[in-house]
Amino acid sequence: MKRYLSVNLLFTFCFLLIMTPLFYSLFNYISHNLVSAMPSKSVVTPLHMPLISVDRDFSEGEYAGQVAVLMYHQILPEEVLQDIHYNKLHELSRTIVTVEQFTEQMTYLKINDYTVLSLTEFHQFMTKNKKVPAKSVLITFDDGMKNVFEFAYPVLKKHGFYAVQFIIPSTITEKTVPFDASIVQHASLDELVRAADVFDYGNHTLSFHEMTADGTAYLLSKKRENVKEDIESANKWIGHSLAFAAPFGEYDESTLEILAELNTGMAFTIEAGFASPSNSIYEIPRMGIYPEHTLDTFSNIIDTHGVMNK
Amino acid sequence: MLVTITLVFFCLFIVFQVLYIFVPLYSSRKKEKTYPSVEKGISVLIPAYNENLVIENCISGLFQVSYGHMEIIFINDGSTDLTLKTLQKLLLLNITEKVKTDTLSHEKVRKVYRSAIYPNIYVLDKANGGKADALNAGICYASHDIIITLDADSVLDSQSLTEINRTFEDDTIVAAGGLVHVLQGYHHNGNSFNPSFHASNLIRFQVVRYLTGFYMNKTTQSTLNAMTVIAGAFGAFRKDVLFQAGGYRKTVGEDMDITLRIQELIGTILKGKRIAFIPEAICYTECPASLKSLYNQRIRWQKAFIDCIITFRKSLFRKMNFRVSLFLLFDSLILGTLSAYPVLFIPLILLFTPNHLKLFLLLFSISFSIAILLHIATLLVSRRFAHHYRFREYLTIISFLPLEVLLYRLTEVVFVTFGTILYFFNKDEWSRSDRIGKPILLNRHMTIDLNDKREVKS
Repeated sequence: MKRYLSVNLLFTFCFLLIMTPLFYSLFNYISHNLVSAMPSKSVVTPLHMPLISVDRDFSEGEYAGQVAVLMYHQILPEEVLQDIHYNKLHELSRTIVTVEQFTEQMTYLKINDYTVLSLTEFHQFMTKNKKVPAKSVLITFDDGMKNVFEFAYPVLKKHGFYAVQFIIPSTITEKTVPFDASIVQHASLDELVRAADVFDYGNHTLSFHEMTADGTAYLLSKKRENVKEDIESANKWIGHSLAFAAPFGEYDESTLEILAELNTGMAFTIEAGFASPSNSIYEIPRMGIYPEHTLDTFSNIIDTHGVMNK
Repeated sequence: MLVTITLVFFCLFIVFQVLYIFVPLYSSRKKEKTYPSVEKGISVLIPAYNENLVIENCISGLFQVSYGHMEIIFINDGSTDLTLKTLQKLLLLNITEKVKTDTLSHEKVRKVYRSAIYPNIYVLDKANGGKADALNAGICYASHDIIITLDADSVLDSQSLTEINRTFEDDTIVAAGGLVHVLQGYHHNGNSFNPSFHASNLIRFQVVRYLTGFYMNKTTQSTLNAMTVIAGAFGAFRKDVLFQAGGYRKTVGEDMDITLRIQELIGTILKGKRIAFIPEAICYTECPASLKSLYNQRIRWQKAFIDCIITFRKSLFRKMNFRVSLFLLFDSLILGTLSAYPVLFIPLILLFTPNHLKLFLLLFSISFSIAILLHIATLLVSRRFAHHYRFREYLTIISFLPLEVLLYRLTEVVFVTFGTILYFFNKDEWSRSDRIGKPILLNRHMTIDLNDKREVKS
């Protein structure tokens, strides 16, 4: 046996040397071009909710030159937080803000006379010189998680606030299931419809909220026609193309071209900054609100004048 | 959808190819062999139907065999040519009586002859009934416990029966297949008889296929206890098992049929027994030298295979062991027949989904590389069994491999496809390869010298 062992090992080594790259390319090809294309076919009944038509007249008082767009992902009560919500360093995931913090922040907006804009109003502000009060914010949530409907919706509704949810249609379920903090749950179609008095829905891609093995977002790694098809399908599903946000905030020139081709109203980034009509309409900055933010930090973040003065 | 099916087939294909490469590579080695001191009795059955051209070679080939305790039974299956006359002339036959040990149904045996000069050679003259029928008659008249079936155009290597004898020391082995080499893939010059790759491309193709088929595929199947066919050219059986299996069935592929019937027995009443493959037990056979006769041979094999699948379809996974069924169903049927070879699917993908060009190229490169690697592994393994080529010939072989993979595999696909279709149109018509009857001089000292009785042992 020993006599042949070295020959065998040499052969095996050559075999792996030749076959590994080939199999890897095949695997890559399949996972890129065949597997991901599948969910798009199984998306549930289209949403097609009309936009919230609120369009208030703010022509009195001081006007805002810029507006803070707040970005949230998940809202969870402190008591349900468990292992899956923490990273390896035992820090709470950056996508989570507790219900307690969120309630406090919304109350702050209310007490301090902030105006929470509807998506339509914000769009008018950005494109049609609509006057909005000096202390205005737009609230956005990414990913369309069930917990936002469960915990943020009542708070927003109580204060009469509006918000925008960037949803991923391929993750929206047909059936509504009970809330379970221990798993990742996306919203159901029914939940989207019932919460449509508070939320407008924006496009977070149909099914491209994914990364390749090497950590490249699909919007960057996929072929242009696939990206376009995906965004277009999501628009169709949602029923309009007023707002778009790129998953992971990853996009490139070609994405912007596609958005223009699809007559997208606005697109939001995850870059910090205030939104003003002078911004590029497809690169509107947003202020991420994270678990480590105290109420002080929050008030500083949304204070457009504070930044101006610095 | 088409792409998904292709990929599933492709993965199966790869799994079997990887098995076929690595199982023989890591399992074949020269074992410490202990040869039993006692020669078990062996009966060699040689059915002959119009074998006048090759029968002389066949007899001279038998003299090479260095084994004492054997009898040779030629079964003249109602030949319409001079086969019997030639046997008569070469062996000086006398009518004799021979005891039938048991009965299997077969056509009437007219006469039993025994050679006057080689008392261990018998000739059965019977009415024509086909190869299976001839073998059944031979089994009935065989007096030893181990039966060797040999084609009239095949020649045994001198050590072959010694190896069979050694293998059958193991009581769990009820049948065994020997290794068949393409005779035209050898060069004989004086006393030397060495593998040579100096032949036409058609022969080279078959040499490579035989080497891979036996050294890799059969070794793998036998290691995994999943032998699906013992080649008709050279097989060894325990006689009682042949009787238990009910003898040979009249069919195009009686060799696969008997193997599968023994596998059924192993799966039911002979649990724990197995069918072995003996790479050291060698026989040389003439392979078709023209495309037309190669085509006929392959069509016949494919028809035989389809016939067996249909006959044994209900035994799969029930009477037969899981592994045998798995190899038969997936490797032989689905990969070998339904898809013939993923080559057949690849142009289809391209036709229906032209945007998968990259996929096509990937699948192609993978199957191409794996095929070449399998052949290279074959060369490594066959060397371990002393099948050596000269260095320059290795280079020739390696440069021939791409041609084999690209061109001859495609013709294989044609054979398989046509054979399958033709099976359903005419099941019974079958022709055998044209005999060439080129004299076989395995060893100069042992050429046909019928007056020299030195070789005869009884």
